[in-house]
Amino acid sequence: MLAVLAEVAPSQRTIHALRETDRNQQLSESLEYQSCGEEPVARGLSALLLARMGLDRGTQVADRLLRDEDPDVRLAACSALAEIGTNAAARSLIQSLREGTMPAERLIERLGAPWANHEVLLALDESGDPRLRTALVRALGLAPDRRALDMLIHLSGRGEDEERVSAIRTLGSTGPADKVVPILCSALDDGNPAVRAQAARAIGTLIEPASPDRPETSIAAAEQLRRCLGDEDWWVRANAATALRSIGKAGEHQLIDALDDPDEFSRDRARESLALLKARATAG
Amino acid sequence: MIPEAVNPLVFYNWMMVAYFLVINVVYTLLAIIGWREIKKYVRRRPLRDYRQVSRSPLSMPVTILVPSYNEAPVIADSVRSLLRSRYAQLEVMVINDGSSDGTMDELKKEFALTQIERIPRASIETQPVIACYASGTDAGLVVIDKANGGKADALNVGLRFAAFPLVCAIDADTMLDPAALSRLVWEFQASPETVAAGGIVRIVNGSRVENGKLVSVKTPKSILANLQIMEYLRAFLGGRIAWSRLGMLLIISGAFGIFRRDALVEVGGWDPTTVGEDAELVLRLHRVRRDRGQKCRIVFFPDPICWTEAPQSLKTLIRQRDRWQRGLMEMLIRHRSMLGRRKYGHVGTLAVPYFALFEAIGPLIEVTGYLVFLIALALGLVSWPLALAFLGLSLSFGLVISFATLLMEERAFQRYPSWGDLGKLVLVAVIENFGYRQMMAVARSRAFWTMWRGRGKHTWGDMDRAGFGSAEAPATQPIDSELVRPEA
Repeated sequence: MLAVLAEVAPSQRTIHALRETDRNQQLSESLEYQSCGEEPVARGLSALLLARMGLDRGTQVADRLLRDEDPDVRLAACSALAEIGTNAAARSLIQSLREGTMPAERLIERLGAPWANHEVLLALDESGDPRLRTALVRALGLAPDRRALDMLIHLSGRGEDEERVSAIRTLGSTGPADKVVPILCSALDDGNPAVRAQAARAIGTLIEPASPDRPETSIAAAEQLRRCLGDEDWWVRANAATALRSIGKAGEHQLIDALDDPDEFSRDRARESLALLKARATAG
Repeated sequence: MIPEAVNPLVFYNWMMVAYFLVINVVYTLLAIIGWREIKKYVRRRPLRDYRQVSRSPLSMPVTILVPSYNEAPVIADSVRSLLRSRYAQLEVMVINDGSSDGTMDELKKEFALTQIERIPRASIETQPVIACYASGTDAGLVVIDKANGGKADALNVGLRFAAFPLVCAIDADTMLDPAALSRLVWEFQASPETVAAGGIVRIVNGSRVENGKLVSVKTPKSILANLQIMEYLRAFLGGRIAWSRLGMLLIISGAFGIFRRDALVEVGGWDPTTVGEDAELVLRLHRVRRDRGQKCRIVFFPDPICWTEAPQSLKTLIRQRDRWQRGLMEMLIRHRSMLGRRKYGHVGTLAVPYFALFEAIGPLIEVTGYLVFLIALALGLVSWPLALAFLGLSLSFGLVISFATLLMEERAFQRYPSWGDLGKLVLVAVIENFGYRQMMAVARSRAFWTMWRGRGKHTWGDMDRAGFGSAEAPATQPIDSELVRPEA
C-alpha cells in the first residue's frame, strides 16, 4: 500500500482521506514507526508518504533519514523534504549539504526552488565555507532571486575559482541585463578559462535578441564577445561564438566584422557561426 | 566388442550428462538470483525519482555516440528519436564511418549541418577525422565525418570528441525508451564507483513505431523473431541481472550501454581489432582497473530499455551468431591470463572460467554431444529409456527456466500486455527446444571454423532489415549493424 500511495501524486481528496485516517487510526505514528524499521523501502516510503500528507513530523522523519545508511532512502528523504517545502525542510537540506551525507547535486537541485531561497540566502550570508557557498549559489541559479544580486556580484569577482564560476553562471539567470552584463563583460578578462567561458555563456543567456533592454548594453557586450572569439581556450571561443549568435543583430554585426579579423581563430569561429545562423534561418 | 566400461562413446555420453547437469544448475541459480534482484529493483522504484534526474540541469550530462555506416534510410529517424529523449543535458554525436550510401548527405540535408571547429578531449589513435559539423536545426546534435575504420574506431572518435563525462554507446538503428537514460544515470550519481551500466535490449519486431516513437508493444508474426524474443528475455532477465548482482558482469550490449568517459579513455577505448568490441571492453575495464587497484562497478538494469530490430532471415541470424561467438572467443583468448586468477576477484575465478567452459566451448560440446549420443543410441550403447529420460529432463530444465523468465517479465514489467502475446511466447518457449536451440548451437560452433580459417575480420556486420516503421515487412535493404548479444 505504501508503494502505491507514494508512487502516485495523490489528489486533495486522497490527502484528506489520509489525514482523516491519521486522526482516527494514528497513521502518521505508524508511518513514523515504519521509518525506523529494518526494511529500507518501507523507511523511504514512510518519509515520502508523511511528506505528501503534509504532516509536521514528516520533516523530522525525513531529516533523520537524510543520514540513513541506504543511499536510496537518503534520496527519498531528500525528495520528501522538497515536497514539504518549508523553511525547516530547507534548513535540513542545507545541513545535509554541510555534512556531505549525499551527492551535493541531489541536494542542490532540491534547494533550487523559490520556497528554499530565504534559507539559502541566510546560509549564504553566514557561511564561511567556499564549498558550501558554491553549492548554495548553484541552487540560486536554479531559482533566481534578485535579493542575491549583491552577494553574487561580490562572489563573481572575489570568490575562489568554483565560486566565481557558479556566481557568474547564476548571474546569467538572475539579471537584470543592464546591471549584470557589464560585470560579466569584466569577467571575460578573468585568468581562469572556466570563468571566461561561463561569462560568455551567461551574456548570451541574458541578452534578449528581439528586444534588448538597452541596445547599448548588447552592442558593448558583442564587442567584448568578439574579442573572445580568438581566446586561447577552445571552450571560451565556442561559448563566445554561441553567445554572439544568440544576442541578435549586435552579435551578427560583430560576426560579420570578425570575418576580416587578423586572427585566424576569430575568422573561423565567425564563419561557422554565420553559417549556423543561416542554416537556422533556412530551417525556419 | 569394446567393453562398455571403457567405451569412449559411453564415457563421452556420461561426460555430457555431467556437463548438462552443471550448466543447468548454474542457469537455475542465475535465474533465482535474477528473480530476487528484479523483485528488489521493482520494490525500490518508488524511492527513485527518475523524473528529477531527467529534468535536472545538475544531472550528469551524457553524450550519446551513434556510430553509423551506410544507415541512410534510417539515420534521420533514429537521430530525431534520440533528440527527443527526456534528458536535460544531452548531446547526440553521430559518427559517420565513411559511409558509401549517402548517410552523410542525408544528415546534412535533414539537420542543416555546418562545419565547425571541435577540439578532441582525449588522445586515442583512430582513423582520420574529415570534418565536424553542428546542426542548424538542433543545438544538441554534432556529426563527425571520418574515414572508414569499423564500429569500434567510430566509437573511439566519438570518445575523443565527446563533451560530457558520460558516454552512451548505441547502434544507429536502435531506439531508446524516453526514460532509459535517466534510469542508468541514476546509478552513476548514486554510486560514483560505477564505470559502466547497461540496460535491457528488447526486440521491436511486431511493435508499432510512429515517427521514431514506440506506440504499442506486440509480438511479431514471424516465428524466428519470436524465438529471439524468448532468447533475449532469458539472457537478460535470467542471466545478466544475476551476473551484475554478483559483480561479474562481462557483457554490456553494444546496442545500449553508458560508460564513464574518463574510465574508457584510461583503458584506451574500444578495441578496433576484435569483432566483439563491446564485451572485450567490459572485460578490459575489469582487468585494467583491478590491475591498478581501482574500483570497478559494472552493472545491468532490467528496465532502461533499448529497442532493436531482430534479424528476420535465418541466414542473417546464423551469420550474427557466428560473429558473436567469435567475439566471445577472441575476448577470452586475449584476456586468458585472467582465468582463475584471484587477483581479478570473482571475475577471474568464476565468470571468465564459466564463459570459457559454457559459453565459448559450450556450443561445440553440445553439438558433438548430440552426434555422439545419436551414434551411441544407434550402436545400442545407450538404452532408449535412458535416452528418453535424459531428453525429458533436458526439456524440463529448459522449460522451467524459460517459464520462470516469462513469469518475471509479466510480474515486473508487463511489456507484452495481451494474453495472446503471452500465449505466443509460452508456445515459443516449448518449440524452441525442438530444432532452434540445436541449430543455434551449430551456428555458434561454426565460429570455431571461421576463426580457424581466419575469416571474418572486423568489419561492420550486415543484416537484412525492414526498418522500424515496418518491422514485419519483408527485408528490403542491407543495413549494417552490430547487433546485441544476448548470451547469459
